[in-house]
Amino acid sequence: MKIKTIILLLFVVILPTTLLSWGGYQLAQKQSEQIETQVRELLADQLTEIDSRIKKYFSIQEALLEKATSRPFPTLDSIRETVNSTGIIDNIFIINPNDSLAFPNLISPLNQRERDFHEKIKTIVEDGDIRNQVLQTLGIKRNRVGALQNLNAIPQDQTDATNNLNSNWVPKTGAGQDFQSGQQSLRRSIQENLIQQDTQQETARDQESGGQLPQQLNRRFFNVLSDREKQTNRSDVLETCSGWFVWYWGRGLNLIYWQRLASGRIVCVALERSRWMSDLVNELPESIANPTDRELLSNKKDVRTTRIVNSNGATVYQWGDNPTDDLVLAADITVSQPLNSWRLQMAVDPSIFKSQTTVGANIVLGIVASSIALIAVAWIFIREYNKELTEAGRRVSFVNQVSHELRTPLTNIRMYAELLGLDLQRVNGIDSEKAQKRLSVVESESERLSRLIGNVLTFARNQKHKLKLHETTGVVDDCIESVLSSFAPNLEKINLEIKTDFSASKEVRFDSDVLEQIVGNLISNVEKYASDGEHVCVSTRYDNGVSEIVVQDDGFGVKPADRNKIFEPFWRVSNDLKHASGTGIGLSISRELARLHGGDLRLNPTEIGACFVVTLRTTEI
Amino acid sequence: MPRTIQIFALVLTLLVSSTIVAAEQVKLDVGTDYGKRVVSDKKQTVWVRVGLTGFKMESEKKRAAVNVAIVLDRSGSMQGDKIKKAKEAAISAVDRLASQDIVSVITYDSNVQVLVPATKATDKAAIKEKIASITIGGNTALFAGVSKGAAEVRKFLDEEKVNRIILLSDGLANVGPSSPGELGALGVSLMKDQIAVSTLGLGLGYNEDLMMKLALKSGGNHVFIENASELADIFNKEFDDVMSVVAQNVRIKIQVPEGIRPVRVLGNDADINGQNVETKLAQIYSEQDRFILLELELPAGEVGQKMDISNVTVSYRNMKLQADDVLTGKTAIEFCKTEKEYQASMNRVVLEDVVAMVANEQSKMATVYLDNGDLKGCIECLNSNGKWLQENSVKLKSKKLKLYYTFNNDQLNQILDNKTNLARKGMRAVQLQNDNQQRYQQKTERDKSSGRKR
Repeated sequence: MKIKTIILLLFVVILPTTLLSWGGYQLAQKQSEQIETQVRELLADQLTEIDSRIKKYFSIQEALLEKATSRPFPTLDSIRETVNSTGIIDNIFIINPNDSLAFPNLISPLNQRERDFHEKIKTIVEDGDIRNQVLQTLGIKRNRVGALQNLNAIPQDQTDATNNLNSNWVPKTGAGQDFQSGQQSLRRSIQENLIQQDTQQETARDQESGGQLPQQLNRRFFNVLSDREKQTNRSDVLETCSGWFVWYWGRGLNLIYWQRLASGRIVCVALERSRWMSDLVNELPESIANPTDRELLSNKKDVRTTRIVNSNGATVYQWGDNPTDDLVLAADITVSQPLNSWRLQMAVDPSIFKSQTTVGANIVLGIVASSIALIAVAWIFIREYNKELTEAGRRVSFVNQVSHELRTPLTNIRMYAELLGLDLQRVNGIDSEKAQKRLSVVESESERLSRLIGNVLTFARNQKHKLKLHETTGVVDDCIESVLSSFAPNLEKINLEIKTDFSASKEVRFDSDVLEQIVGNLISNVEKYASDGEHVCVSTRYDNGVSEIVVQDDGFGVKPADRNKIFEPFWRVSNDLKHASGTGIGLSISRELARLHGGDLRLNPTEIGACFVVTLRTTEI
Repeated sequence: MPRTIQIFALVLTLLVSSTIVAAEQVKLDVGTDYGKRVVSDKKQTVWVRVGLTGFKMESEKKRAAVNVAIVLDRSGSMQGDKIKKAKEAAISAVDRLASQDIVSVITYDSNVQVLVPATKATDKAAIKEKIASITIGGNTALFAGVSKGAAEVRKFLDEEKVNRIILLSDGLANVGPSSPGELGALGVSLMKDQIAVSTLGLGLGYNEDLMMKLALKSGGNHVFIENASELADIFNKEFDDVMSVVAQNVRIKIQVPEGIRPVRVLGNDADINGQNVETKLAQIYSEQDRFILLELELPAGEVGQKMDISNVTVSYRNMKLQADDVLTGKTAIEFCKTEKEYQASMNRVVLEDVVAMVANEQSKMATVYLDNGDLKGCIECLNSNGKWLQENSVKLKSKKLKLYYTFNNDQLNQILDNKTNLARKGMRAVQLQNDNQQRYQQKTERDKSSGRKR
């Protein structure tokens, strides 16, 4: 009982606490996830801001290079002068409208540097990569503008003013025709279907170079559209456009800026890789010089390092705090074109994701507080319960003591009543009969009282787990016979006939006091509750060490709902005063005793009245 | 058109006032190894030396303003004496600056810190205090360090100033671009902006190829500093150089007549564009002898035939007068009959430089052998080079060649001692100093030991 209560109370405390904790944890988790997403977004925004600097740098370069490439290059020296005086320019190459290289060209007197450069760029020019990109750019642009009136602007005569620089700048006619057929096919494709333009361009390319273009498809390139074109309607002037060509060579990504001039020539500038990387480094922030200043300035926890990594994943430049192993990658964005194979990454101390507003702590605090409150309630409850328990114990022990005190005088009363009965038998006369009758009432009432006291004492002993069996050798039937005989006068008074069917006449070992108490209780109940009936049947049986006693009456019986409750202590069928005599512990005690005796007390379902079955383990001698 | 007139006018002015100006003008001297050639059916080669001599800077007070970025390595390996000496050296260098000079200080480890953004060197105490506060960090982001240095120099970049980055490193660049090629390319690009990078390699841990390339391509100095105690001296010498620049943006154009083939140029990177040879020097220091050697292949000639072999035009910025100047010169040879005449026409100065430069190319070969793990080849190469230098130093009575012989010998001994790293760094430094004709040079082993004794 006590353990059960404690478990219940623990359950009452633990369950809500667990639920609260779980809910709180979920909430905190969600909150921290939310915070993390927010922080990550914020950091990504910062990277985008950084990226805009890179974007700006390239757009400035674009403007400068557009100017540089628009310049006429009448002599080789003029190109060299531009290359030698511009830090960002590694070299320049110029592609004729017929796909041949106007510069550097091996027939003209090139220096070693230019010859090396020619070797380097030869393939991308031969493969037509840049021209294809130019065509694509033009196509997309036209597609966007939707204006196709300029498509006839490809000149039939390609000897423009700038072509006479050098004898070998004259186009090879064969290649030129191929180029034109490509152009025408492109033109057709744009006119026919603007959406399917890409596939059409593949066809165009195939026509140009006889279908030998598998490797250029593998090569990565992209477009950056420049809107800096001037549209003209003159038939001998081409649309101009410009863009970036990305070229993987040597140590990685190289940039080529190209501009197609109105003459149809494409002027390309190979940018000095180290220089633009160096310039980028300078566009990006530096680290704060003195770490101690920094600690003073800002939250010490806010450790972060930002880096720009190239297409191989190697760091080109990093700033912020010195990177350590504890840092986690918090934001990672792609750099805008033309460097879109590069990434900007920010690594931070993971503590930055932890909530600054201590939502989690609040939740934990709430859980702790409510748990404490629950525990307090439970503790008060247990204390009250224990108080009451001791109170009840005290009452029981009081009753117990009183019962003990009552027992001795009662025994005396019974003894003297019996003695008085014997005395009266010797006296004859009507008076004596009358006295005999009155005496029998005293006897039966004192027996009832003694049973009552017996029950109370048994109950008290049971409470203290002090019940013990005192088995002796005897016959079950005899024992029951004697109990019934003591009840006989009272039952007779209420016109209840006792029917017996005894068949447990073997000598066995059992506790006669226990059996007497059980049967006494059962018959007493019959007397109290089945007085409306006509008879009570008591039958006994013995089978294989188990004695079974059945007490069956034909009173109003037990309601099915009460079948289990009647065995609970202090429970009574009715508080009606008519049936009020009794303590409500009789059946409970009887069952305890029967179980102590290795048996049980059951209420068998019957149609009429009540049928109690007592089983006892009685060993045969 | 107006530009041509301007130049013409300038040349005219200079010619008129040549007697007055001469002292403050770079001297051009064009010569050949042997002025006379024995007639032969075979093609023969001739060396043309284009020498430029810086005029004397009379006083440091009248020197051109400098715009210098000091870029210091504060990576973990600089711990201890190295960083201490580096800071001391930088501080004493700052002391030498005048109020018109611009200085910036950049430190780098894994990251880059602009400790002192480009500023006039007026509040030296504050700058020195900042330098003193430098602490040790992590890795070596050399590329970014140089880049930020360049950015600081660019803030005050102009042709009237001597623009220079002084880079100190003791380790391998390991953050960002870090190949000699990439740093060399950056050097080329910086030279176009007239920013030279002097690289000071400290200890045995740095990448000498990277440091050398960067210096060579940008026109700066390179020196291998074995011991941190030499730092103050090296910084001092570097600043001596920076403060004694008399000419900048020196462009040399050599026009070779048709029929004569320019073969190669030693002493500087040069472009051979057909019959024209073009090269650019970052600067000429006060009283510096700077030269390039051009190898030409002569056609056959007749006895007594005189042949113009080169027309030289040099344009430069005179840092003293803060004006552009143009110099011209030419050289010719004559075909003769006898070997005796040929020997008599020897130009000792030219031949000395030719020997030195050829020996230098030989030294580069030895480095290649060393890199390929061919120790035997390397030793042989150095041996024959030593012989060549020794013979010629006696023949030409040249102290300079004697010095190169000593270097060569040092390196040879180091390799025999199995100190290949040390030897390689020494080789690289001397090679660059030759190519660049650096004024302050590597110490020989004897210098070092005598220095220690003192």
